[in-house]
Amino acid sequence: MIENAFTVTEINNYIKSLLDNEPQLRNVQIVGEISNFKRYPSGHCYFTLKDSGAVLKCVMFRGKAMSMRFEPQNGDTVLAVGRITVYERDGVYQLYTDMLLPQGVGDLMVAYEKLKAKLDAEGLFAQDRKQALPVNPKTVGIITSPVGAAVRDIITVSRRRNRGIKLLLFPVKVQGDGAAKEIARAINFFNKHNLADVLIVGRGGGSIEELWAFNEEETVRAVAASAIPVVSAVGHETDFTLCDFAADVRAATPSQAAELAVADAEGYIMKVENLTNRCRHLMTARLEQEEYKLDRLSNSWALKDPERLFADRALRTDAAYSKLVNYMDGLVKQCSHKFELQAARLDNLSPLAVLARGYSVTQTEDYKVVTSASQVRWGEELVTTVADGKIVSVVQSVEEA
Amino acid sequence: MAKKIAKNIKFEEALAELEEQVRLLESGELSLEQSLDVFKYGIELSKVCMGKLDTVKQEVEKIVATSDEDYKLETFQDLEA
Repeated sequence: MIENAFTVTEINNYIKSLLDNEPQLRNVQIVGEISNFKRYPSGHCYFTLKDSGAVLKCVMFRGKAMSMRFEPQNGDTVLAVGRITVYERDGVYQLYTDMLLPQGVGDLMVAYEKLKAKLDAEGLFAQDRKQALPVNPKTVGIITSPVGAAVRDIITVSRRRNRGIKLLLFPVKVQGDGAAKEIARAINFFNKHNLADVLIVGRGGGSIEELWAFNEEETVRAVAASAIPVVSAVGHETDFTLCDFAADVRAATPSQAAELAVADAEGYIMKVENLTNRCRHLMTARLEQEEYKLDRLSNSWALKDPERLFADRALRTDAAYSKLVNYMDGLVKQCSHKFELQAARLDNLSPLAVLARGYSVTQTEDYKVVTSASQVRWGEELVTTVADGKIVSVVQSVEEA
Repeated sequence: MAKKIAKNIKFEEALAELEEQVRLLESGELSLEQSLDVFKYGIELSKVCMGKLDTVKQEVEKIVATSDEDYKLETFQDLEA
């Protein structure tokens, strides 16, 4: 018998494992009345939830307790959300509480989740529906309460970023009866009359009830349908309203919304100046570069000393010329040598040469060469040519052979 | 010839165009004539951008809807002032 017995630790471990394996207990929502609420210096909170028939031990650790926005009082009816497991040391099961919501808020949370699921299914929150905010809007439409910090923050930040920005406020109730209707109407009004380039829709932070107008279907649909880009600015870092999901851009606070919506004019002025300077600089550099090229070209020997372009050709021409001249000289010499030979031969045939050898030519008065005694008569004058002159003689007698 | 700027050009379009002209000039692929045209166009764009940024302080106005169709504008009591 002893052999089959559990130790206390073992049985508590076993019960814990049973509860931990039960999916239902891992995320439970329990309605009950708070009693024995104690917050320890460590930050952890201990309390019990009860109704008319039973009690449940609960613990809420420091991290969760710090993000809780209300201070629970004994006697408050709340919705507690968390997981149930066993605290082995004490042998008790208890609720490890993640969230405590006051009565009424629990109902709102349920409504919120339901509407969120419905609109999400319709695609109202889809990323591809989101519009980009204009880079440099002229007019910013503001839909919020005319009193309070939100409108003041939006105006101050917008002015600081761009003093020329046109701000158009559509004052609305942001909580209470009719607030959702007013907000939706304002969004539609801006769109209908095309009064702004971008809209900021929001309010300062508050409890879930105070923010409720931004979770109502009418408002969310108006935000989603807006042709003018919408920045939602419901002042809470941690919680999202349904308007935040539907808006083109979600800002954590009204100030941040203004920063997102209003162009930083100073920044843009610097950017444009910078681009302009680069334009000028690039153009100047280009012109200098071209000027340098031009300088280099006009200093080149071809333009500066064009004769050099021909020098080579002139040399070749000179060479050809002298070759030609030499050739011609040779040719002339050769010809004149030939001529001299021929002239010498010709000289031998000349009658003058014959005369030089002692012969002579005799001619009558009418210049006929005398070759026969019968050509002449007594007393006729004859002219005889010898090598160095002429002899005139008179015929004294003719003797024919 | 340098390009003309559309009359109703938006600031972001003019800015994007200006950035494009700088890119073109930086590319070094333009002839000198093209460079000059791009440069002139860029300087015009820069003037347009600056014109759109240089504005005077405006009043905050509030919309008073007199009906769904009609509204009037009133000066909103500027809390800064």
